[in-house]
Amino acid sequence: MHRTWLVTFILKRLLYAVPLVVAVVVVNFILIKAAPGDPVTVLIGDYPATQDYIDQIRAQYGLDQPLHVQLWLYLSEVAKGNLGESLSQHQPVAALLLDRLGQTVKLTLTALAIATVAGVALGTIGARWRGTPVDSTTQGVTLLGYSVPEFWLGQLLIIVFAVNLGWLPLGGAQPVRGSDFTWLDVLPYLVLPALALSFRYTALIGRMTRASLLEVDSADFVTAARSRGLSDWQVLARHTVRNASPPVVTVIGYNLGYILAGSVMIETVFSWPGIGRLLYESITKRDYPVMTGILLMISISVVLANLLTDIVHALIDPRVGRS
Amino acid sequence: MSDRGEIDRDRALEAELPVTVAEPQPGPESSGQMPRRRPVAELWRRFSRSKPAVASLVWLLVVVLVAAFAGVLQTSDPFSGGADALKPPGTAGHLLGSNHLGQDTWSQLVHGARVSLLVGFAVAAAATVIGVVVGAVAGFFPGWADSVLMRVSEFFQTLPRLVLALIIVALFGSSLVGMIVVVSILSWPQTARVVRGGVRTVRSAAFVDAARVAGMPSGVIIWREILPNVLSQIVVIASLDVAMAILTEASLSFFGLGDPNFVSWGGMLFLAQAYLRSAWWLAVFPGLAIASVVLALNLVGDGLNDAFNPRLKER
Amino acid sequence: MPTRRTVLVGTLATLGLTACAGTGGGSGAASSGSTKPKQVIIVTDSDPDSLNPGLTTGYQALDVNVKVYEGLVWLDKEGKPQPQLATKWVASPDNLTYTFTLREGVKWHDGSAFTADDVKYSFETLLKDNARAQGVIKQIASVTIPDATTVVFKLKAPYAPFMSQMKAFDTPILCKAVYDGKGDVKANPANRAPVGTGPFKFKEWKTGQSVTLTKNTAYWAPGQPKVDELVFRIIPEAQNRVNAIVAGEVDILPAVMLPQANIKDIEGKPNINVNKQTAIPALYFMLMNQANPALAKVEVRRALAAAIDRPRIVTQAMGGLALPGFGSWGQGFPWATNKDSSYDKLYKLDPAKAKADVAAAGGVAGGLRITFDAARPQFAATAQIIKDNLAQVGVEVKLEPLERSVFSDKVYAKRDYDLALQSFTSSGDPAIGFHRLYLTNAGRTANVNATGYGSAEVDKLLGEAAANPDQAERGKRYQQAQVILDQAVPTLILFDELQADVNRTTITGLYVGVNPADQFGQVDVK
Repeated sequence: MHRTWLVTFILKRLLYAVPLVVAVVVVNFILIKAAPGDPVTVLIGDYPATQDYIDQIRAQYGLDQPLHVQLWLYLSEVAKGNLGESLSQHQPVAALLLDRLGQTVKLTLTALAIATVAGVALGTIGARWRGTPVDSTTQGVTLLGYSVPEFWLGQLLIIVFAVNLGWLPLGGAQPVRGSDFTWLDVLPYLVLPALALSFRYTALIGRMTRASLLEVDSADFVTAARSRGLSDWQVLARHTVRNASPPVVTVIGYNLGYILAGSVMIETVFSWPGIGRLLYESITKRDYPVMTGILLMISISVVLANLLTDIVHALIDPRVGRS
Repeated sequence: MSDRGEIDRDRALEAELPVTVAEPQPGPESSGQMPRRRPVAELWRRFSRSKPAVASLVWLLVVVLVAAFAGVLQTSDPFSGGADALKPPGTAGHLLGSNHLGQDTWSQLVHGARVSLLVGFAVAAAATVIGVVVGAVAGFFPGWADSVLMRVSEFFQTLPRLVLALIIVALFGSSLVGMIVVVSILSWPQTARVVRGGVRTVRSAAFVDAARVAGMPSGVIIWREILPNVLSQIVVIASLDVAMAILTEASLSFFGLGDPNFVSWGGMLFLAQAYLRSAWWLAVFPGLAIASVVLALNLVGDGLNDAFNPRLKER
Repeated sequence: MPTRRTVLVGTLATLGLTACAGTGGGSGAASSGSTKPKQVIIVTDSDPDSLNPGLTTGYQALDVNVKVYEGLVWLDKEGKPQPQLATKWVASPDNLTYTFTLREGVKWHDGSAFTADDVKYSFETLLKDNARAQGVIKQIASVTIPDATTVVFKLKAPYAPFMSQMKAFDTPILCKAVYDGKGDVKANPANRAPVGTGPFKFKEWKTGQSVTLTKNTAYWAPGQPKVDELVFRIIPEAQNRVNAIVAGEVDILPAVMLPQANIKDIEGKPNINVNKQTAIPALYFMLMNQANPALAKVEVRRALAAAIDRPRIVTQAMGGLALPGFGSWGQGFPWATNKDSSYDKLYKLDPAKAKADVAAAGGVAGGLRITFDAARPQFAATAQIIKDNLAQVGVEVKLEPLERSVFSDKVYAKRDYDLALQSFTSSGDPAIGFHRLYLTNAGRTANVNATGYGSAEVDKLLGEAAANPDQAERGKRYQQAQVILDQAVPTLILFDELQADVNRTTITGLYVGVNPADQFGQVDVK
């Protein structure tokens, strides 16, 4: 592996990433400012307030400056790590996001783990018994995963397992009463949302695994290995897996953004107190600093995930990096 | 495969689609080796080999008919409710039950089909047109147009489609037209990328060089020689676009961001949230409708993909 | 040999499990202390925006703040003021001067002494911009403190509801020493860790999860508070709040946090008590913009009133937790309600007649838009029913749900609407909350009369009702005004909200005052 190549590669990718993130922030900022509705009225509430007070709030949040000034101020603050202050909670946005991030990470990582295990299993089974009813079944299951709306699946899971069978709680991330929970207390709350969230990615990973395994299977070096007398399992372990995994890994990595999007829906259905739910709340409250903060966080995560995936792919794909 | 040393991100990004859209091979027809058989008939023959695909097509036709004749099929006006709220399926006058306002679930279901199909097909049409134009141009003229397209696509990739749609619709208000516009804008980059890839592959084929040497203007070359070869991919992507658009509309409506002046399946699921405990039918039926239509569309897309590329069926 | 792939997958899985364990909220170590504190759990739907009641009017903050802060008085079940931070009060014969004698020996939560300075500072500085306190502060000409335990308020004109606004909900007393000379009030850390005189002290605030208050052991009332901790659990999803109270995971579900449509899921369940009352009446109504030529005609408005099925709205949009619109003041204040004039008499539900009337008046060209706050499901359901009702009389209605600030802007600032749904609370007296429905108002500020209706006679009657402290006299004025307003029906009253507070039967000592959020010092757990 050429070390210098890898380093330049990473640097190039990082270079691409920065303007991308900035573009995202600028576009979001413009969108939010262009939208109708005045955040100040959100703060005033139901009662008539004096014009002085309204002006005061406006000045305090810098809402009276021209757009490009506001944008510039925002970008320079972001560069310093200051994401502004929430209009509805009067708290630093960065602190608010970090507070809630843990819950979303917990949910998405669990879902990802489930999806990876189940998806790879489904895909491998399908490839191994290709053309048989087993294959058709796994293919059907994965197709279902694409077609079913995640939030509906969440609703169904709640109806069946929480309302009717009563095995699992109806929502939330932890028991309401008490404090100092162990992970055992929290686990029942994680099951349904993680399952609902993982469905789509199980399908994605399953499909990619199957396709990739089959493609490698028909490659020359595999045929050669087989003709040398290696058993199916040996071929699998030594050649197929190594060559089939890059596309699967890239699928997982590049779709991280979509898992985040999925978490918005799932967190809403299950009242999961994470970033997705916070995004929804901030939209309904027109809490612009929080909205832009979350968008920034999501886009940075996606860019980082893409970068990480690129690197991992470069490391494990035997075809890459050889000149 | 793209340049050595670079990772073909296109392929992996394409993986978000349920089918691996194959790159076009300049077919035997254009190299004059085999006699031309009626291509459409041939296509149909291959398509109909897959029973699920045919069944899905039939189902889609059924849904389209239901949507078209919703006014006739309804048992009551979907908006007019009454005193019979939250009745379970099977009650008199409410085949599939009624909601909290006494509105009939079956009638809402058949009218909801209109919105879902309308949004789905409108978005796919718009996204396809824009995507084809942009993708063809970018693929045929390498250089700055191409880089700009790639950057724009990457930009749209960085932000999950749903989140952006959520924010736009929430901020600017919900209306059917608005939603179609927003979702189309977020969908075309995918088509464009696939078309670009396909165009680039075909661009270097012999018959294209021949046309260029013969002095044909670029536009004509794209239209007459290249696009027909990329057509298969466009059609497959379009069918998947419809599925995606229906799901996105459902998601937006589920957040309460749908147009309240129309009944939509997603909107029904939004209202069902409050009654999961007491009225399961409000969530089950619209969800089944969405899932079945999207599944059918995916299977049709799958079938089309196989029909266009029989060689890959060996996989 | 483990491939890189298995390593990757393994890492992911481990990360997943570690994340599970890590954010569990505790290391699982044995909790210190043998007895668990006596806790009462109240559910709320989001974080308070601030715990400084001078800065916020949101209910989430209010619920917490009235347990931490106190007012000069509190209102009992009959609405009569009872001593809280003031032990005695005297009104001058002309009702322009109120003299309060303050309670002695009261301490702030930080140990310092409560004095008249705090009262003066609160009224003059900390509360002066507060929307909820506006109504009464506007009426105050001066606040003077002759000594450390006496406060004298001089009013600009007699103001009947004055005493009923001296409570913690409207004019809580804040600590001067905490805010005075400490820079910007809005940046003061006490806004997130309040210092009050109430039965409960602030303990901690886990954003997105809970706000915890603990017993004030130095509270001035003997034997209070009875419980050790109050926890406000944040559950944003309406359904989950319902599930939580039914499952016993929370003890108290305040009316504001209850999705009315789901009351059927709660009533009748074991160990649940539902307390319904209209102690603080709130009206839900439909504004009709007279800028629309059809709605400017009183015949059209009357026809619409006779077309709208108010009982159905009560059943389906409010789960039965409302009283159908009675007349222009609703029926929350019986002394102000004119029983002889009512919607039932004037506008009995009759779609056929209404349809004929609308046609006779020239019809409604182009249909009507109905605009409402998208975030409130009761409005959405109400709007749907109204749409259905008006379809029967030949008027096409288009639904226009808008985000709250956009709604405010469109309806009040721009007056760009046809029909609009809104709700106002009376805050305990029609003069505080309901006058703004009908007073002539050409201005463009929010939450006032935006219909374009104005009547000099009604204005005069309402002015007199606000000034006169005698309830019988006030009642006469309101009833006279009601007759005029019922006939003109500029704004159609849809229903009086019935507040339904829910609590588990293990909790006692609730509902002592007129407002269920009050007087938690007396609450106990069986």
